[in-house]
Amino acid sequence: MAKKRKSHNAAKATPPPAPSAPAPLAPAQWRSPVLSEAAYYGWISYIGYGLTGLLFILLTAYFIAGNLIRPRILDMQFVQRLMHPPENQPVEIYRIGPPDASVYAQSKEGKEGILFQFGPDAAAGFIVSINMLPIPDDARNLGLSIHSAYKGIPSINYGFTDRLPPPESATWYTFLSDNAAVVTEISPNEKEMRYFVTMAAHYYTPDQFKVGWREAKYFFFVFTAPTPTELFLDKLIFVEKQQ
Amino acid sequence: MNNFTPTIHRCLPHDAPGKIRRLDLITAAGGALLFTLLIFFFTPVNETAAVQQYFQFAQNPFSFTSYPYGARMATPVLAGLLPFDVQTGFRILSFISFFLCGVFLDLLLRMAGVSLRWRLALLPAFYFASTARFIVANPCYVDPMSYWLMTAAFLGILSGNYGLTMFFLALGALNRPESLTLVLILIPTWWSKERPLRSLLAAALCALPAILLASAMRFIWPWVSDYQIWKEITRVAMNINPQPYAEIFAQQGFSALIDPSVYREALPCLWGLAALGFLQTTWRIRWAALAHIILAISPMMIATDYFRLPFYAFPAVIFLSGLGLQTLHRIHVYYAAAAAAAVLLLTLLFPQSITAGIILAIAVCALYRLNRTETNSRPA
Repeated sequence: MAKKRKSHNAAKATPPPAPSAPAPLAPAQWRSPVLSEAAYYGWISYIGYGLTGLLFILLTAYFIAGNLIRPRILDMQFVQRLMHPPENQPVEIYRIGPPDASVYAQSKEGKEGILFQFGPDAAAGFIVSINMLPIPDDARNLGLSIHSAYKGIPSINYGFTDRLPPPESATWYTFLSDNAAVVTEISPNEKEMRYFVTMAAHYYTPDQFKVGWREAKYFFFVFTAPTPTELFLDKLIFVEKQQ
Repeated sequence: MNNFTPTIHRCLPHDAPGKIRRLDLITAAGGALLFTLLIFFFTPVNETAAVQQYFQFAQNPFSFTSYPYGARMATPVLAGLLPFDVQTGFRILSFISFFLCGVFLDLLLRMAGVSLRWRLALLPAFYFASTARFIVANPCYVDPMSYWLMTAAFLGILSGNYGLTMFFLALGALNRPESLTLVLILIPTWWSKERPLRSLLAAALCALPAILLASAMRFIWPWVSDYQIWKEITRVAMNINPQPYAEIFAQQGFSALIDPSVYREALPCLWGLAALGFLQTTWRIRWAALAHIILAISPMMIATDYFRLPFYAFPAVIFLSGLGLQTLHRIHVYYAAAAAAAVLLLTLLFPQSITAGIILAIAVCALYRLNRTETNSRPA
């Protein structure tokens, strides 16, 4: 039943191929070798060298592209200036929402920030004079990132305006729609307060705002939410994509 | 070329590449395509559990948001640059990778002299393994590309092809720097007693591009990307590694290695055939396969999410299993067929059962031992 092996050592060195099964369905040319030993260790190996060289070129191009389009930080001290306005500079700061909707607070880690409580009908935020937000003259676009802990379903609306909204304004949504604000939704978090970081995926040029930052008198940011939401704002970072 | 003495030792027969026929290529591609289609068709995609780090990386392919994910660039960058949405991009890459992995596995077995039927019998063990199905269901991983690059590099190493080894190691290091562990098996596999210095140099030169590219992603990329901005914003730096290896090792030590449950992902249904193949092959291949398996498993000591790591041993396990099936075939074709059927059955019904794998291993080894004894005791 069992076939006798000729030599154990020979089998160890190079396992003999299986008895070749007849392949009546395969034409003869299908059974011809694709590669020779010379080709495998010759030009196929050279292709490997070439592709490796190509990887270096592609990685260099990737580095150059990454360097060309990386964003630069325009301002990351905005929240600190909100909490401690500069004394030697006339600035205007207006609170949006009831007084307890935004309070200065300290996180468990000892970070200073502003705690916002808002939604569904109440909004919370600030309108500040444009000199609070030093955007360089050569800035061509603007993106926004936030560093915050939150619980709920927050959205951040931000933009520029050349006039303050009337104090009797019943809802901020009218103001926001009138001023064509940018809205960035943050993914819902129904559990504990957690830190969330996002880099602005979109960068807006001045003409994409109803009032561009070069003509505006005020910058505003307003938090809204469809459910009661809490947000501890640690940093509001303004970035520009260099492209 | 026949008179040419290679600088390095070649584990596979020198004429192995010449054994690849057109039919082999067609069956390799056809078999791999069939199984890839089957696994992608029957595995539902988990839409909600995308790996956020790779997903966000693909959304901003020129952004370095976190380490070490920002250094594993090949898959996310390709997925991000494809003209589809990110999820589809990952899925396309995963499909191509699984297909290529099957093709290279088949060619590896072919070059080792494993016949067509046993090659095709072993492919399902890879495709229907629980880890492979998990990766297909969750496409936002870099693992599929690592699978085929590692298999191709293993083929290049065993056959002693400098160019292919160099390229697949380099691309593998860009996709997952941990793939550089394959470099460690280069030296013992390629060491030539006749030309010691030249074989060492050849191994070093083949490994060099991979090391350089991985180092460039680790040390140069942070300086030319937006990493500095992320560092400012999030206070996440590369020295605050989300996977502090020393701390993890201090906490879990070798406990992960002695936990039997993790080996469920290391293709237990093939252990018996692999052991048989291990006994039947040369010492050089034994060391290469053993080193590959150990290097695939050992990172469990310093990793937290390590349940997928043992599966990385599959090229060596399947390669040895092919040799094992071939050994059984030399005794009797029915033995090999029975073993292949048992492997297929276990793969489909109990792919993670260590007990079933061990029982099959004992049965296979006993079958081999009994018949070997019987053969030896027969009168000449």
